[in-house]
Amino acid sequence: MPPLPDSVLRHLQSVTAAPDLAGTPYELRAPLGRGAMGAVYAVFDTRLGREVAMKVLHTGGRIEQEARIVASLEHPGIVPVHETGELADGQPYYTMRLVRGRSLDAYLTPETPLSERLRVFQKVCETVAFAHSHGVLHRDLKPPNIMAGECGGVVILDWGIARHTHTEEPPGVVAGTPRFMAPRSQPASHARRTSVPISTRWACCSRTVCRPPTLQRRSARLPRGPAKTCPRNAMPMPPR
Amino acid sequence: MFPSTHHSLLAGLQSPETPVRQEALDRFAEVYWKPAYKYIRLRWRRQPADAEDLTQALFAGLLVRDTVNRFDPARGSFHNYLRVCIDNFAHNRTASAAARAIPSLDFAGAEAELALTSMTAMATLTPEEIFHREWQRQIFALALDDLRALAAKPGKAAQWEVFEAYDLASGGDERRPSYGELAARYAVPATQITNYLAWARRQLRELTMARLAGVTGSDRELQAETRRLFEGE
Ligand SMILES: Nc1ncnc2c1ncn2[C@@H]1O[C@H](COP(=O)(O)OP(=O)(O)OP(=O)(O)O)[C@@H](O)[C@H]1O
Ligand SMILES: [Mg+2]
Repeated sequence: MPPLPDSVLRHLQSVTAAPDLAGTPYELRAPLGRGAMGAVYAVFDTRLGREVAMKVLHTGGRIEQEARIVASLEHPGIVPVHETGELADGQPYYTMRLVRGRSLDAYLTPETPLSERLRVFQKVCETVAFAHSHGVLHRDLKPPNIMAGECGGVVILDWGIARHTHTEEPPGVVAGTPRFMAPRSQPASHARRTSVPISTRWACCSRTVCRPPTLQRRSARLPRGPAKTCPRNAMPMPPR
Repeated sequence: MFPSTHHSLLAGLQSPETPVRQEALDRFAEVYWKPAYKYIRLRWRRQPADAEDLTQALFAGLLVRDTVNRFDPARGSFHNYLRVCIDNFAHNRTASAAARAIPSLDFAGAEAELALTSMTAMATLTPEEIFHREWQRQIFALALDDLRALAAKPGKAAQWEVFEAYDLASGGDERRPSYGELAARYAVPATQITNYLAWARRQLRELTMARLAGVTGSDRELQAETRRLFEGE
């Protein structure tokens, strides 16, 4: 057998990674994104005749929990979940509204005016505040997990590692994406009390208003100037 | 969803019994020899004869239990450990034609593949990416061999032919026949083409998983490797 050319290899990767939707009311349309936990596809719901987004976990995981958390939060900044299920090969999935737009890392360019950056930032803060008021910590806020939709909507995705404040995490567990984590939830630190508010500030201030944070700058000092727009205690604290 | 193959690879490589160790090594080498060889050629720019010796010496080292015993699963995958071993090897060793751990490796074939590899595309990849990409290619190539063997059973010839014509067409999407053309060629309805492809792709996915399960040490590692298999698609 001749060697697999790159183009064939890529094609085989995408067709074998694609979920097997046999036996579900969905038809595959297009891949939307792939992350650490799973892959998200645009699929067509044949019952209602509309496109929705389907998140499929690579491996049996916490999809039920993720879907429940998202479903418990009814807010314009959080995608509504439609249903959960299992594919023919056992992979768990859930479907949700398809957000037509772009993730923040693509949406925000150096040309984006400050007013628009602040509008996006405020929307993110409102949504996070809403989640906190319901006792939910997102724990992985970062530009790729936030989408700017078509009609000015700003939606926070990927509640895969979110948790309720009343559930205890085993000691030593650190969740999140290092570059965007709140300084206090980075390894070797114990106080996680304010992790999400600071993480929000990092993800949004730095990305919408200033520069992306780097791991080196562990001093947790926010960049000068525009940081004034995000005073230290601007975010409501999650109930304890 | 994952094949229930017992993950005995490391145990096999660590076994005190030589035949058990050799069996585990053969399984492991099947997947890794080509990525290792190509990596030594591309990253370390060793001549073919040199690269051959180093590849053989690498697997001979795995046969000696020490190399395997030094591997600590808590610090990363065996996959990465192996790449680091190769780097150490290629850095420190002048090749010697001593040990031939695996007699049957087709180095001439690997050279022929390298000759077809687009060097301009390779030049944009980091060494890690080269190793990774060659590993992905090898897993899929082996799973395709398995699929062809499976499709040689009675009643599956059409499935294989449709799959070969459509999914293995080189030259990208423009060169792929349409479902309609394939339906006409095989005198079946177009929905049947969908079914044939779905069967072949499902089998191929399971066969790649089985190949991965054969060379991973734990469920956790298998999950991580599964993700990496589809990276960069
Ligand atoms: N409802 C949706 N509508 C449109 N696109 C979506 C939707 N949900 C997810 N996506 C796209 O899919 C990508 C991956 O989704 P998500 O972040 O939920 O996956 P993940 O595997 O949990 O990723 P991570 O690596 O961040 O853990 C997103 O970046 C986004 O581009
Ligand atoms: Mg994500």
